[in-house]
Amino acid sequence: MSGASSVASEQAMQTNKELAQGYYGIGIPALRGRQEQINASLAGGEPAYLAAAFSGQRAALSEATARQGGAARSQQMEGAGAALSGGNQFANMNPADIGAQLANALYGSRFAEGQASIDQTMNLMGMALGGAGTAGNSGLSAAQNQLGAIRFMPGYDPTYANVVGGLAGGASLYGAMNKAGWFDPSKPPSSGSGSGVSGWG
Amino acid sequence: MSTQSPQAKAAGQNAAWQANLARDLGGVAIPELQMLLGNQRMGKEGMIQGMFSGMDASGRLPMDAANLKASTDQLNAGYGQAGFGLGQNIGYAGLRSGEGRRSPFAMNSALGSAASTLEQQRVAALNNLNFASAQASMSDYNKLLGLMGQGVQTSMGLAQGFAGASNAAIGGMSDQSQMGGALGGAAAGASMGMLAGPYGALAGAVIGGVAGGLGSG
Repeated sequence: MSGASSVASEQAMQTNKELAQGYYGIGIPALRGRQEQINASLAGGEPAYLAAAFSGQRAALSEATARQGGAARSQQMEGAGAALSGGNQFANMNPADIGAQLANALYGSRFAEGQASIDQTMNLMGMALGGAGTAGNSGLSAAQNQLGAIRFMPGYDPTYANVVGGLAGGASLYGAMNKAGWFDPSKPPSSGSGSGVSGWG
Repeated sequence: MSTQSPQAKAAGQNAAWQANLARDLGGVAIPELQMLLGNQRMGKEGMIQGMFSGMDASGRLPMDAANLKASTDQLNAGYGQAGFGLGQNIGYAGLRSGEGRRSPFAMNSALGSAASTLEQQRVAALNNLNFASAQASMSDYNKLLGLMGQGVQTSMGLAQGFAGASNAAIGGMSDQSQMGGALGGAAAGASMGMLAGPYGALAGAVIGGVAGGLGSG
């Protein structure tokens, strides 16, 4: 690889790494925040706004049914007033009928409220599992990238080989110089060429 | 002066960075899966398992049973109020009838007849509620099983993926044992140290052995 392409590759690596870090910096905290939000909602149960909405619905149903009874009574009173002068025992809507209608409406609302809360729990659990899958798969991709990076690393540490080589070279040099009498003050140092290596020690 | 090439240095940095990322992301995924599915090894029951183990004798999930109870209580309370209004209405109608003398038997008969009708309406409503609850309970049970299956699939897929990555990492490891490296290094060191005499050979063997052992670890 030429020097220019090596420098360009290093720049590309840095740029891509910074971009990846930027995206991870957005994605991972958001993912973690989403999971925390989901978990808090799961632990909290039915949201207060949903309970208030269904409570309001039941109040409205009660009022509407009461109005319906009142309207029926007034219509019957008007009709009966012309025909009867001594009172009209049918001039109202039976409260039992109103009560039965209201009871049906109210339990229907209560059941729908409970079911809405259960559905929401199911949805939240589905989203929680989806988020866990996203996080896990991203982690697996990171692990694969880690292995990919390791492939570019040398298989062994050359430091020790360099040290051993240096020491061995030094030892050889020492042996050759010793043989040539460099360390013997009684002998003048020879040039060493062609002296051979016989006579060890 | 560094003995590492720029490529080796960058590869080492990236490998460490990606390893931290994988660990961070595992810190998001694993607790979530544990919260929902549990962890048998840690004796921790998950939320979904808790729902299954809380099923009542009829096989209804706890949240469905709670909803049915709340709705049944509401229904009974509503019909109780309707029954109270019924008695009041019959008494009021009797007063307004203009009859000076009302037969208590007639009043009781009217009350009994009306109460019976109301009770029939209540039972019919209760049947409707039970039917709707049964349908909803079965649907919820199926949804919960589906969620558990999704979680299991995610967990197993990730487990297999990371196990594969762990295996793949073995490919990058040295195939030489530390003892083999030490012996090889010692032999090489000794042969080179021979040039410096017997002490040189000994020193070379020791240095070569240490270096070979460290290098192959």
